[in-house]
Amino acid sequence: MIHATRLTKRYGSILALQDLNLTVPDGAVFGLLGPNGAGKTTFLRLAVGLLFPDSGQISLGQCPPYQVGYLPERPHFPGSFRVGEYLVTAGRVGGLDRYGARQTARRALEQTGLSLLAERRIASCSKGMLQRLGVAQALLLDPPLLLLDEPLDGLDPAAQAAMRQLIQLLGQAGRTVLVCTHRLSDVTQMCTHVGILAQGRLVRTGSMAELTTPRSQVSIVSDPLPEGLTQHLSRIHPQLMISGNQVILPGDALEAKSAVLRLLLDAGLQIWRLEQQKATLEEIYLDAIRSQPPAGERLT
Amino acid sequence: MKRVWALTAYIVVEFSRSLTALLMMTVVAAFYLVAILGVTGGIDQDYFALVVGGFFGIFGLVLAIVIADRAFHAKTYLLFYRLPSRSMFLAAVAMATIAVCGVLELAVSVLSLPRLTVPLPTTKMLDVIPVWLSWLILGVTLGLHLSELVRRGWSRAVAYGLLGFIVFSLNQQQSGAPVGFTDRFSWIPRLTANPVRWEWAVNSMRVIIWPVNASIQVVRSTAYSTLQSLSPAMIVVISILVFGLASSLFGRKDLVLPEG
Repeated sequence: MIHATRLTKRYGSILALQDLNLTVPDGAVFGLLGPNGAGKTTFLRLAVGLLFPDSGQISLGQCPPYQVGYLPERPHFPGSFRVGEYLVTAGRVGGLDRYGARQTARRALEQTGLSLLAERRIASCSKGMLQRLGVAQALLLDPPLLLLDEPLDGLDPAAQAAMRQLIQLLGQAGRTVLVCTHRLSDVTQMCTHVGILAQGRLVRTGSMAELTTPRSQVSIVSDPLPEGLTQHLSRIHPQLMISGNQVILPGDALEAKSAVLRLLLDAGLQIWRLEQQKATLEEIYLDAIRSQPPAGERLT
Repeated sequence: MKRVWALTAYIVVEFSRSLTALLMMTVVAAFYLVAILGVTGGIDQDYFALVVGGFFGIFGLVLAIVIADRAFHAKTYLLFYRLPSRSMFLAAVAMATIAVCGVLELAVSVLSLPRLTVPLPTTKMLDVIPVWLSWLILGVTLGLHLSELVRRGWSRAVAYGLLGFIVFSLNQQQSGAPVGFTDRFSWIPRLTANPVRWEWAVNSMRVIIWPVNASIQVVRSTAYSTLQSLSPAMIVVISILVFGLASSLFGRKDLVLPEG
């Protein structure tokens, strides 16, 4: 659906995106991660045509930019309008007639839990309400592609959960959703694919399943370990780690797994859990970000 | 076109609910009090046609800057990205400005009619309305170039310079100095010592200024030629070209709109 090729964008001397190649597959809920200033917002603005690339191309497949649903990082609205009135206006600017715009506005209000606020002036809405209004306007025309910049910002925990569920449902309904966020836990819960941007470059991308592959590390959780046994265990392999009632066997220490288990059982301890651990998104993210040169080097 | 009408209505409503609208209405009211009610013994037809039309031409320019600058704000993002073409957005800004100015101009005109010393005949009204409209459209399209919305690089400085030059030239013409257009712009070919052909610049100036001058002739109580009667249409054509230039500047502009 989204295909960027060698996309480069500068703001004066600052390089916001550098030779970015990124593909967001059809029907994916794609989490675009990255630290502040990584180029996530610039990428979205290029996608909807608010900015023009210095070089490279970006294509949204069959979907023209004016048919996407777009939520900017901090959505602003005319304070003198009422919530429902604004959505009807947005629908009409999107090409609907008055009746169609009213219908779609009503549906978008229901989807985002704003039905009771339709007559409320935007100026008197809280930040969370404005964020939901931003999502409502993005959903208005039932777009095949949604570009959401920090959609969960400013929402209370219940509204965050509802929004995560809504995004998941949109993905299940075949919509392609690109979500820019800092919240790794949200990405883990709702995204099928992930891309990590750092200093204008894509440093890691793939499906969640591909990225969070099982690591060669096993952890064994048992009853609390007596002190004498702890010393005995640590002599089995130099890489073996003990944390509370958990014995962690990373890398080469895996070969000592049988010996460790035998020792624990012989000591009469109950084994509660034995699991092969997966790399967490946080570890992948931090690994990808730390491998980048300092931000100052981007200034050209 | 449906999208442009919807956006135009939005811009008009959003503007009309602002304090700026109140300020603009105060300016118009002050104009009416000073320039229409303040004239002892009433106003004549020439005064009415030139002063009201001229004021709203300039007011249209100022209002275009104000409305375009209001549109140059982050709240525009969410409507702007829904348009297939950027020209649509600019057209909506221009149409909204013309609509607001048109309503105010109509109100001031109607309120001014009782102040006329000699009633305005319908035939004269038919001369005046197209000229007023053309001045308003020209003012609005020029105003777009002076706004932050359309500005790209040095474009605004160039637009101000050109506008100043036109106003200066018109003022010279109206002062009654018996100087022909060729004489007025005769200094342009002498800009460089080398024999550079500057005739195009001289001709461009003539093309811009002549219709405005001719339209002034049309609204005054004097005879005018058939060619002069076409001057409002020519001004509209010039306005379309000025709008086209604004549209091309805006069409390739990076939109990073302020949030404050």
